[in-house]
Amino acid sequence: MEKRHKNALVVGAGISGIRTALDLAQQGNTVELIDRHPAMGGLLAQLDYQFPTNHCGMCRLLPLTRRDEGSQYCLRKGMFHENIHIRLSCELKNLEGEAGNYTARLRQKPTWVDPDRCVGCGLCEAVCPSEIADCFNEGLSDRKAIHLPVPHAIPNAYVIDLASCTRCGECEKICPADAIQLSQSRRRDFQILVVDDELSIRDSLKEWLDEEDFSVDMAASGGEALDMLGKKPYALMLTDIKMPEMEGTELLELAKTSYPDLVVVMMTAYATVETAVQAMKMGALDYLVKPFDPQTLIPMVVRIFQDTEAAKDLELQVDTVVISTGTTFYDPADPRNLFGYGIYPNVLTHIELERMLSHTGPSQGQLVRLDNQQQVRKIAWLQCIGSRDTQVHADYCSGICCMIALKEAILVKKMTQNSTDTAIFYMDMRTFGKSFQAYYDDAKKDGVRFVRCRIHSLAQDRETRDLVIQYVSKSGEHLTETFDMVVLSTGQRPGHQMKELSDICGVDLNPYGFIQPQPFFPAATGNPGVFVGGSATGLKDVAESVIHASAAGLNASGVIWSHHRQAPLTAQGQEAGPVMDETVRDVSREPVNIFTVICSCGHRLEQEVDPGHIMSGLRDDPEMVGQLVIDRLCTAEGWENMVSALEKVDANRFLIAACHPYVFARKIKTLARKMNLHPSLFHAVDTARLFWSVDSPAKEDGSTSGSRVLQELFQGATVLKHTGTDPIMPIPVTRRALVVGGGIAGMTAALSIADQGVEVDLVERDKSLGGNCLWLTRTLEGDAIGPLLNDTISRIGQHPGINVHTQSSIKDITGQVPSFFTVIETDEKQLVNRSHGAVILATGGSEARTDSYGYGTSDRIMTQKEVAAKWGGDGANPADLGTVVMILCVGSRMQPRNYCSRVCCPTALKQAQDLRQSNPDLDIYIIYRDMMTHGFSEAYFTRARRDNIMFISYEPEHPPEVETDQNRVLVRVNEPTLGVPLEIETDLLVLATGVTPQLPDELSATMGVEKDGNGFFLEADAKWRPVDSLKQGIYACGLVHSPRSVTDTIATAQAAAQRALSILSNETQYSGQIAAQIRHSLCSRCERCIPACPYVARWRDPEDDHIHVNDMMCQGCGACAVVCPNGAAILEGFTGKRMLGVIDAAFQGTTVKEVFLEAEK
Amino acid sequence: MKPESIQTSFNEVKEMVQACIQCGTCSGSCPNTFAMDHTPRKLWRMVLGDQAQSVLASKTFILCSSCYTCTLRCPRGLPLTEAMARLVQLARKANPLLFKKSHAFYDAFLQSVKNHGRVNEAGFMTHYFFTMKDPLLPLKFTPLGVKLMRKGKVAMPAFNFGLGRGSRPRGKMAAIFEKIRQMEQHP
Amino acid sequence: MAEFNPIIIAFVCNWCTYTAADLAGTSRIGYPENVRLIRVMCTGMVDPQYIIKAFLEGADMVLVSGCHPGDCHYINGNYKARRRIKLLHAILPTIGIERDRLKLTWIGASDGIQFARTMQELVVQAKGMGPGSGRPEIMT
Repeated sequence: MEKRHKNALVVGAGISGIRTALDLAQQGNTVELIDRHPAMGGLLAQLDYQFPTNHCGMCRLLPLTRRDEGSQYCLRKGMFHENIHIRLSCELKNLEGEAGNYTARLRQKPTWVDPDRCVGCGLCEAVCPSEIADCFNEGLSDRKAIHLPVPHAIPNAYVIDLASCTRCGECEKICPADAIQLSQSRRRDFQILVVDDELSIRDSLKEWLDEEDFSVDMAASGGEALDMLGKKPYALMLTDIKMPEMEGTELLELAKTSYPDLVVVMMTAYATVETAVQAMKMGALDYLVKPFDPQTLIPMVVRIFQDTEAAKDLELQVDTVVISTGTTFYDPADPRNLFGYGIYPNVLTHIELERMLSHTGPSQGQLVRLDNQQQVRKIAWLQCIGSRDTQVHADYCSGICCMIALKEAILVKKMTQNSTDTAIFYMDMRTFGKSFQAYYDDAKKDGVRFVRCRIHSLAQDRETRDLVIQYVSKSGEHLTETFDMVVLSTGQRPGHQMKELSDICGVDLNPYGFIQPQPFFPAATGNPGVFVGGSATGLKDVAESVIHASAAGLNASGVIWSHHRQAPLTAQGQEAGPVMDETVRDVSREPVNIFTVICSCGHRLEQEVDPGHIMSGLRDDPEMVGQLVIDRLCTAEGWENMVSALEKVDANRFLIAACHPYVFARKIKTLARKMNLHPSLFHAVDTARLFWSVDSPAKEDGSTSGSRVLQELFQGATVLKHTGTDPIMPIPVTRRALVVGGGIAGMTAALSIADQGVEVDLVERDKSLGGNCLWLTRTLEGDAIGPLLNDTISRIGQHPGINVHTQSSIKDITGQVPSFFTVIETDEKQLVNRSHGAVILATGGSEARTDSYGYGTSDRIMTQKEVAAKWGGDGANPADLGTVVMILCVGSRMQPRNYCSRVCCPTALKQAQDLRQSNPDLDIYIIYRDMMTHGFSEAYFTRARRDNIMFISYEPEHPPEVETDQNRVLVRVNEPTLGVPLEIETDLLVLATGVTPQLPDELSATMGVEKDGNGFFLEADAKWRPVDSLKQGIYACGLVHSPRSVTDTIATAQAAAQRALSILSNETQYSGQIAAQIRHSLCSRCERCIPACPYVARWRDPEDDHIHVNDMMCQGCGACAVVCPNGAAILEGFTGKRMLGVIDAAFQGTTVKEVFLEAEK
Repeated sequence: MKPESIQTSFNEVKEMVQACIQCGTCSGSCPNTFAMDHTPRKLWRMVLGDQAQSVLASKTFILCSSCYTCTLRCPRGLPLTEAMARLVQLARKANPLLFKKSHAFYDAFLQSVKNHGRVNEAGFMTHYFFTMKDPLLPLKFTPLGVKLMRKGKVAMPAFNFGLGRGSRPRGKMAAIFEKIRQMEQHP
Repeated sequence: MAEFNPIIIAFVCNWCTYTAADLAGTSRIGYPENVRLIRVMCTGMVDPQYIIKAFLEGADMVLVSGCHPGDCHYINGNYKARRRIKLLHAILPTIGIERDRLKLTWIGASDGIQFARTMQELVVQAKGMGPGSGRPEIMT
């Protein structure tokens, strides 16, 4: 088995796996990214829309620096990166070793189609006779046994679903690329030896096995068999037991001694079964009882064959492993099937609805009923299907189904122009994220109906097949509603084969089968070198998944650092060198010599056009020095042919015409390196689609395909003529980080960065570190915060790489990544100048103030924080209390603080739990709007109810009332079910007011970061870059980012640290080839380009009076080039000259008069 | 029955439904809510709110037909049908006068079972009318009786004690009832 | 004189529409040969000069197509394109080019079918409008 080494193994190539892999790769670590499916993307490959922004934008996950190391196209279609090796249809089978030194065994499932050869032409699909349900479309449409796993992936190789393949072989015959190898042909290599003294048996067996395409030899005796075993490598031996000269068991013993890998199956007559069993103890695999027929023999042989094939496992040495295997969903067709799923045609799960709403789905985005294709006029969502339901062993919440339903309802409203009635039936509307409450309000504004009632079952009208929902409202009214379609918001279930994976990796599972993270550290597992990211620990939305994935990446890079690196990565130290090396051949002084390679696309080229015509057309241009036609460039073989041909060619630019130019980007880089040329001297154009496209009306075009091909080629040639070959200059990085804020978030981030050899300045405004953790005692799960805090503070104190500045603040920050210039005002009012490569904002948050509900009029009315301070530790005695009332959502989830603070519901439960434990007779009432106990914290809600804590829900329109009268506090609230007003006299009233951020305007203005409408840090992208600011190099974590628990705060801190390390880990950074340049001589200082840049990367330097662009921040969008009136701002790689030339070339050959616009833009 | 033991039994019922989240599944599933004064959801809320008086004066649990749909579907896994049955027993002890009719019916039914091994409709109805001492009561039952007789659901003349349809030796039933009586006295 | 076959120049953004076109190709849906694709990194970098040049070279229709609003890889490039196209719509008629000859569409990366359909519709429309005024006499 081949042994290779990678720094990290990431199991699962969904969003989280991709994020972790990219984070590690950006630092220069090598990653093996595997997924059991034949395609990347996980769940999100099936979803076109994700809340809260209702659009994609996944491409924003791609690295901002060193852009050319990876792919630069739509991420939903796939990706590549120099440091990431992707292995699909691959599973982890074994893991041994310890952190820093694991040996992983990977098993790659054969898909019977060689991805290196498949060109994706689709001819096989057309001839395949076997039709089955398409699992990409959740069974709503059909596909063939040979199919594309994800329709929009690049590159897209077909795979065969073996379970439904009939082995007819039609696809294999028609494949133009010889890519299909049904195991039939591999069977020929599987050598079987049949040993029996009876000729009739030998003959029958040979005949049966021959028919199955196996290679069979025969031996009449043990001695002959041993002889033959020595001559050929046999994989399987079928031997009789009772033979005259040598017993089968003796043969077995001898054979196994010399050929231990030989699989032996004994054949025996009934009387000698005992001998057969004994033989198995001696090493035989199995036995067959004579007489037997092919139906018994063949499946066993096939199984042995497949196992042998499968045993060709790969071994990989890795430093660390990250599990990103995600979750699956509850199947509503469990034995009870209360909702008629699979029986009533118009009942769907939410994923099925997503496919229906997708443009690439079974109905191309038309929302129609599944029984009669009529328009859907009324649609309902039923929440908590398979979640929060002890009947299906799911005493947990699945976290994001509420948001998913909101998103889908909003989409349906939009797609049907508000004509469809949408209703959501729910118990609690869990909108716990920063922007989720606003999203909920938007849904209400859009006219989505909300009914607070759990629907327990569905009935179907016999004639119309409408779905009937019956329920009883709170007031006791019986209501019935019919719908065209009902969507079941199915809950989470553990990922595939979690038990097996957890055994292999040595990690624990929680009682429900999800991976159990360590307390406080959501990416850590029980195995010190194995980490977990994404939804494998519980279903999360995109933003949280990305945060946890980055946190897992941080833990992984920490292990890699401590075991392997111990030194910063220099340009030479990286395994994949920088893309632009100054040692490549300088062609700037050579005349342009373009060599063209045209793919004949399986000889379609010769059929469709006259290659001679194309060649002569090209030769009209003196700069096109040579042409060559090669077949099937997309296959490994074709590419090799081209490479060897090119080595003999003398040219300095190469034009490649084939299909899927994206696919070539990676190969081109390797080729460029080999030929010692700059990669942008190679260009690929797509000509194949001109042959493969279905006949369209325009084919009657007088212009033959030939001239269209020529136009494409000339467009490509123009690009090459104008390509720039300046190397990308390395940007020196200031390898020091600034962390503003010394709470748990800031400290965790500081430690994470310092542990990887980067110096950190930790600035804290107060006298001591600790922030909110100084008064928090424990989490809802019961983990004590004190020890964590003390441990963290002492590690900070002992760390040589962290400079702590308490009672200090940031006076000013100027400059940009990777060199910020900071002025810190210390405790003695001194000003200290430091420079930093990246900044992490962790200034935290505090409890919100309130004056509602009589706060301030009585000392019996307290906020949650005050209660924690007073009753926690050795404060006053709860035994003195008789009644406690807690009111939640005080000032939260309403203007002006229209967001959920997420921690108040768990805190209330925690405090109620504590009170209940110290005083079992206490009357505790919790008055709430929606209980935000999402995920596995739901169990605490159940427990609280069981502990005799009374929960009373209220609507924001009718809040409770509080009256204070001398020493009494009276709380009045309406009991919704009974419809009666309650008056509770209470000894203690606790108000949950929520969290407000601590981000002063001066600081945010100084740093150049933006705040959202509620004062929290505004992320560059809510989903894909959740801890980054749009101004590159500045990250945020903790409460200043969004309200969250201590554990989730640590997740953001680790994520921010990893993002910062992607800049700070290396001594130098690089931008991409496509970036902004400035011609200062043409610049008129109009400054239009500065606000045009979305990344705030441009500025006017007062010293030299020039416009400058920060190479690291610039992403190459070209906005500056368009607004510049003088052509001083250009986009390297897309200069005006090139664009105009390309436009010209698009017309070449069809206009009589060719107009050249030589003037510079 | 002593008020303290009523309270204790009531608290037992309360503990059974303690984890109720007021989701509405039970009310939605119950086929008999149309006739109840309080829906099951409301009833459990009242139980949790310690409103023993109102609960024990409600008709809801009497109308429970023990179909078990609510118990099967309750997301909190609460033993609702059992709780209803407990309330029936509790109400009998706490509010004998209010539920006199239902209890008389119930007793007559069980007496018939004890005597014959299974219900003898005509016999037990006669017993019931006797106990109620209301001359008009039989008339109220007439339409239902006719309907049942048409469908062959009523055993003919009630005067074949111990003979006819499925009778069992009295001794065994009596032993079962005696055992239950013992269990009820010493829970 | 052969039947009029319009030339459509399409400036397509690298992230969304270009990959949609690729998808149309791989799905064997195909789109008319009349369309010549010119890849740009973002619709926000499509200079009005390019559009006018295309018309002057002989384009009968020019399409600018990019990511849906909110999806732009570079945050807001497509919004910039939208504003520019709006201005161009006002200006083009003054130089003799009908405003309907300049189109702006948002086509996402997985919308291969949508792309092909849009191209087919545009060809039909362009045929209906006849040769553009910028196009010199040609023989095809």
